[in-house]
Amino acid sequence: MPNRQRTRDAALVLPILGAFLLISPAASVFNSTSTVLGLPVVVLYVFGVWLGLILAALGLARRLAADDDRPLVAEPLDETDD
Amino acid sequence: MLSTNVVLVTSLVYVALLFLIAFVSDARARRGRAGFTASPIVYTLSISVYCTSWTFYGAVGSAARNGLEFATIYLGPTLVFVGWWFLLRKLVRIGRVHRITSIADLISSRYGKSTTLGVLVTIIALVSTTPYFALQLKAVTTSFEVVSRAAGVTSSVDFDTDTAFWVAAAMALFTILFGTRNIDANERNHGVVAAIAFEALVKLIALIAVGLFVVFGVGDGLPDLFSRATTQEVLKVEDTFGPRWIALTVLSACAIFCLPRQFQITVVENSDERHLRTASWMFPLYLFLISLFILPIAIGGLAALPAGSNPDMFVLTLPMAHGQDGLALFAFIGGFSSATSMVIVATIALSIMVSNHIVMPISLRLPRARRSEGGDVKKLLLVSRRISIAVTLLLGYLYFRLSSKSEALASIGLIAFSGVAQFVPSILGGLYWRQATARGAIVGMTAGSAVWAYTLVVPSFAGSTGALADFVANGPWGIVLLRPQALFGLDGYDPLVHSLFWSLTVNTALFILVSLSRDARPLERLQGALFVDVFRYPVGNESRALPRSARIDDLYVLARRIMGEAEARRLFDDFARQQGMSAGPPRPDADFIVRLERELAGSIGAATAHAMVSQVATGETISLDEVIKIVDETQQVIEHSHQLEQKSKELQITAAQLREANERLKQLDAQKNDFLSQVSHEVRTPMTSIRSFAEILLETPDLKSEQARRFLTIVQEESLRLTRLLDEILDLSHLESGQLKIEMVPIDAETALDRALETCRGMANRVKVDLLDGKRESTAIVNADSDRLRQVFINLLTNAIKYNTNDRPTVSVRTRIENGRYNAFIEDNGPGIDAQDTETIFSKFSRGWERTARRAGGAGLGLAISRQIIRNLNGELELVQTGDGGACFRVSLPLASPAARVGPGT
Repeated sequence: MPNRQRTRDAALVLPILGAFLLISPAASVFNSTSTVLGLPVVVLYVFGVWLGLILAALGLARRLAADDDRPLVAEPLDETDD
Repeated sequence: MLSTNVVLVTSLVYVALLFLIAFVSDARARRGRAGFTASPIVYTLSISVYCTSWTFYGAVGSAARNGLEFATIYLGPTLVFVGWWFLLRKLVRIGRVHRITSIADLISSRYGKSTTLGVLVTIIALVSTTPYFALQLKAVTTSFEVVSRAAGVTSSVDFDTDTAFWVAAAMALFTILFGTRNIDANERNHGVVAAIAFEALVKLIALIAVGLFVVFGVGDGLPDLFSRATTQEVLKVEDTFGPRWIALTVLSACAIFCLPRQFQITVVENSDERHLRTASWMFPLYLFLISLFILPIAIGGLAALPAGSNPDMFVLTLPMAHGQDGLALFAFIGGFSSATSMVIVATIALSIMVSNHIVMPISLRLPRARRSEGGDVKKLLLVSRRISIAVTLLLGYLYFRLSSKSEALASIGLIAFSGVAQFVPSILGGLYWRQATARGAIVGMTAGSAVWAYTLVVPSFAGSTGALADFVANGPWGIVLLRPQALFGLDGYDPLVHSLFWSLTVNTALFILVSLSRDARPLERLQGALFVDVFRYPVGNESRALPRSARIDDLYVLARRIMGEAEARRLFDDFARQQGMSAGPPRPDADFIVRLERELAGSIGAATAHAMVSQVATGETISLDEVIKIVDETQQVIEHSHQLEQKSKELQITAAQLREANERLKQLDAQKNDFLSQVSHEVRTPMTSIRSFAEILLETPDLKSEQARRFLTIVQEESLRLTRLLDEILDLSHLESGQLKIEMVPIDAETALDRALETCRGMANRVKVDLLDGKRESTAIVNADSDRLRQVFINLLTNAIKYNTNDRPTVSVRTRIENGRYNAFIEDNGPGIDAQDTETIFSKFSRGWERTARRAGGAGLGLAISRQIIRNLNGELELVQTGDGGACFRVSLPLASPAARVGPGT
C-alpha cells in the first residue's frame, strides 16, 4: 500500500528533519534574543521545533497504528505453530 | 520554616509509600492482574528515569550558566524517539526475539555470544555509572541540607554522609526486594515499574509546580521574566548553536539507548512493541514539559536571589526565599524521586550485567560448578545479583565520600554519557552491518574507552595544582602533542567536544578496520544475520546451522539448575506439547536445543547459556555452509523481488519477440501462399499445352504424321520444362531447409569458373554475345562443392547472355581477392536492373527482366537457387551497382585457410 509506505518514509524522515532544524546551521538563523510576544526568538524557535516534532510524531504514531492492524508485536515467543 | 524532622519524616513517609506501591503492584501482578503497569503510559513514564536529579536540579544550574544548552540533553533523546521506527523498533524486536537481558548481553550476543565483550561492556558500564550514583547521593544530601538548613541545623560532613549512607541503604533494600524477584530478565519487575512511574509523575509535577510559582509568583508572567536583565546574560546568543551544542545533542541521543538503565527500561522491560509507538511522542512530550520551566526558573533565580547562590539549588531556594516551604518540600520530594528512580533501575541493570557476564563465566570455570543439584545456578544468580546491587551502591557511596569535596561531581553526568557512548559504534554496526566482527567491537570499544578515560576522566580529577594538573596542562613528560585536552594538537575546543571527537573517531575507525581485516567466525556471522535481518528472518530457523544433539536428561538437569525444578518441568512440558507429544520428555533435536538455549539466555545471558549448553551438547561445530545458506536466504528475499522485476522485464521482451515472430510467420505464410499459387500457375501453363495437344492428337485421328510429330515434340518439350521446374522447386526447398548437404572441400574457384565459361561459350556464340575475360586471379582456393559452384556461374552467365538486348552485347568476367574473400564479377551491358529490384530479383518466381526483357523464359527460380547455394557455401551473391548500364553480379566466398589443400574435386 503506497499510503503505508509513505507513512513509514515519513517516520524515517522526521528525525532527519529534526536534526536539520536543531543541530545544523539552520538553527543559527533564529539565534537572536529579540523578542516576539515578550519571548526571545531563540527560545521560541527551539521549543517550537520541539513541539512540532512531538506533534508530528503523534500524527505518525496514529497513522502507523491505523495502518498496522497487523500487530507490531512479536507474538509471545514460546508460541510456534500449534 | 521546615524542621529537619519534618523533612525526614516526609522522606520516610514517601519511601514507605514507594514500598507500598511496589508491593501492591507486585502482588496484583502475581495474581495475574498486571493491569495498569502493562499500559503504554506506564512504559513511557518509566522511560523518564532518564531524568535524574541531574535534570531536576542540574538543568536549572546548567541553564543559569550556559543558557539554552541544557535543552540538548533532552533534544537528543527526542530525536531518537521521534525516529523510533529506525533504531528503537529494531532494538526492541531484537531484545524480545533473542531474550536480551542487558546492553552487555545485546553486544555479546550479536558478536557471536562473546564472553569477552560481555565483560568489557559490563566494566565500562560500571565505571561510567558508579560516579553517577555518587552524583545522585550528593544531590539528595545537598538538597536535604538546603531545605533543612533554615531550621538552624548546622550541617556537618558526618550528617551529609550519614544521610547518603541511609539513602543508599534504603535504595539497595528496595531494589533487592522488588528488583530481583525473577531471574528471567525479560519478566517484568512490576513493583519496580509501578514505583518508577509514580516517581516520574511526582518529579514532573513538582518541577512544573515550582515553574508555575516562579513564573506567576516571583515574576509576572513569562514576558516579564524574559525582560529581566539577566535574560541576555543567560541566553549568551552568539555561541548557542556551536560545536558543543551539536556534540551534546549527539551525546544525549546516544545515551538514551546506551545507558544501562535506559536499555533496561526501554528494551528489556518492554512488554509490547506497540508501547514504543506511544512512547515515540509521549516521552518527548514528557521531556518537553520538564524542560519548559527550566529557563524561567534559572532567570528568576538569578534575578531574585542574592548573587553567589548555588544555581543548582534554585528549585529549592526560590520557593524558600518566598516563604513557600510546602512547595520547597514538594520540590525536595521531586528531586528525591528523580534520584531514587535512577538508582533503582541502574542498579538492577548493572546487577544483571555483573551476575550474567562476570559472576557466571567465573563460576563456570570453577570445577565444583559442573555437577550440582537443581536450582543451584538460580540461587547463585539471585545471590550474586543481590550482592552486586549492594556492592555497586556501596561503590557509589564510597565514590561520593571520596570526592564530595571536589568539584568533579558536577561534570560526572556528561562524563558518564561519553563513557556509554563508546557502545554506539558496536551497536549501530551490529544492527546494520553484517560484516561487523567481535574482534572489531572489542578493539574499537577498548581503544575508544581508553581515549575517553585519558581525555575526559583523568582531567576531571585534576585540581588547579598538583602533579595531575601539571600532567593535564603540559602532557605526559612534557610532550605537548599528548596533552589530554588537546590531543595531537587539536586545541581550542571544549574538553567534552574534544574528547567525544577523539574517542568516537578512534573507536569507529578501529571497529571498521578490524572488522574488515578478518572474516567473522561462523557463530558471529549467524548472529549477525539474525540481528541485521531481524524483521525479515523467521525465528528459530537457525537450528539448521547448529546441528547439535544431547541427551534429554542432561538438558533437563541443566535447565533445572538454572531455572529450578518447577520452572524447568513446566518449560519441558511446553516444549513436548509443541512437538506434538502428549506425554514424556520432548525430543532433544537441534531445534529444541536452540530454543532451550534462547530460553536460558533470558536468565543468564546468551554467552553463558551458549557455554553451558555446549557442555552437554555434542556436534558443536557450526556448519559454515548452513550459516552461509541462512545468510543467503535472507539475501534471497531481497533478491527475489529483484528477480521478479527482471523476470517481468524478460517476459516483456519475450512477448515482443513472439509478436515479431508471429508477424514473420504471417509474412512467411503469405509468401508460401504466393509461392503455391505461382507454382500452380507455372505448372498450369505447360500442363495446359500438354493436355490440349494430347487432346488434339486423340480427337483427330487423321492428323498428318508430320504435324502429329510436331505436336508430340511440343508435348515432350513442355513435359521436360515441367520436370525441370519441379526439379528446381525440389532443389530449392532442399537447399532452404538445409536437407541438401553440400560437400565442402577446398577447391579452386577459378577452375570452376573456367568450366562454366566453356559451357556457356557455345550458347554465347549462337546468340552472338561476346564473352570477355577480364582481369582474373590465377587461383583462389575456397571451401565449396565444385559442381554447385559451377551451376551458379552457369546460371549467372546464361542470364547475362539470354537477357542482353544491347546491339553489341557483351558479358565480361573478372575476379579479385580482397580481405581474404574471393570475389567474382559477372557483368553485362544489357538493360540493367532497376534499383528497386536489387533484392526482389533473388526471390522466387521473380523475373527482374520482365520489365525490360523481350521475352520471359524459365520459371524465375534460378537466382533464388543460386543465392541459396552461395549462402550454404558461407558466401554471398548480390547485385552490385557499377554506374554504367547493365547488371553486375558479385559472387563472394571466403578463402579457405592456407593450410587447406586442394582436394580432388577440382
